[in-house]
Amino acid sequence: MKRPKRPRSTVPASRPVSAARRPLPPRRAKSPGPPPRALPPVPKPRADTASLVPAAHTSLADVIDNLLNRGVVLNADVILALADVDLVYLRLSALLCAADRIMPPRP
Amino acid sequence: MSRVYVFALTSRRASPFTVQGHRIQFIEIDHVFVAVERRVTAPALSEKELRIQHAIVTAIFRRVEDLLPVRFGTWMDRHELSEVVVARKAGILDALDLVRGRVQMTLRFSSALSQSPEQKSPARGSESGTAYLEARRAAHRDLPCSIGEAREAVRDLVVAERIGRGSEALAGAVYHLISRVDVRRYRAVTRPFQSPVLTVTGPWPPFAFAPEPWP
Repeated sequence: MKRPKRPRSTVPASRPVSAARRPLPPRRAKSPGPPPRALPPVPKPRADTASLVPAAHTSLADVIDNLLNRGVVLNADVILALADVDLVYLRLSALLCAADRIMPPRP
Repeated sequence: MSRVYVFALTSRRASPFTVQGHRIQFIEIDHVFVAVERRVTAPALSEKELRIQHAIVTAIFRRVEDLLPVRFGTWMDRHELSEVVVARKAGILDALDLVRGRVQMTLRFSSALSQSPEQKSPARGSESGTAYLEARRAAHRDLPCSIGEAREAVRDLVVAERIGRGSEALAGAVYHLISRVDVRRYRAVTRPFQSPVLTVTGPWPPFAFAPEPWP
């Protein structure tokens, strides 16, 4: 025998009165400390943002100018060995960039 | 040890995405979001890798309102990355405030073509080395006339400016930070000044206006 289907409501049931009147548990006190720096509200990126930046057909001059202008970080691992015995390990991280990006211009 | 390749910093998280086979994710470090890719090696310096990085940074820029690109080759472990971001957080947030909602436009000029005869470097061998270098410095101190006119024309649109001096072999550039909504106007204003000597490109992510978190 088939059970009759109950009509389903798309409206969520309200909380029982007893639960609604129940007082909320006390909040835990926050630990003291400097408040995090508040960031200003940022609007969502607009639809025309995507069309602003040309994705393809970027010239090599632009790529080099944009990326290498800030310099390049070169990483290297060096192992000094003697008679097949590794003695010294060097991890090198070198920055290669124009001097005026690091040092203030001379008067 | 978990090492990541760092592309850029931003103040808002975006969903992970893939560009040319590279999976970009956002790590939160003390309210700053770092766009990274987990890699076992840093990319080699080549035209192909430069183009890929440029495409990735541009793709990130389309998804956020503020972006600080990081140097090519910045590959480091997570702990080191956290230390750097925390130590320089104030400067990073100030720079993010500056670039939020803005883009970079570039006025590129060829020094060799645009210098007047008296600005051009003296012939080698005619003077001492010191005099030669002094003349080179003087020549590069003064920007070409057309650049000056173009800079004056866009003065109202420009929020920040940085000048990269060129040389006889390399083009120089003036980088302008402008609002995203002013790009069309900027292009229209600078169109009359465009020539073989002076070209206008952009908009780009603010490459020239990112601070140096890794000195």
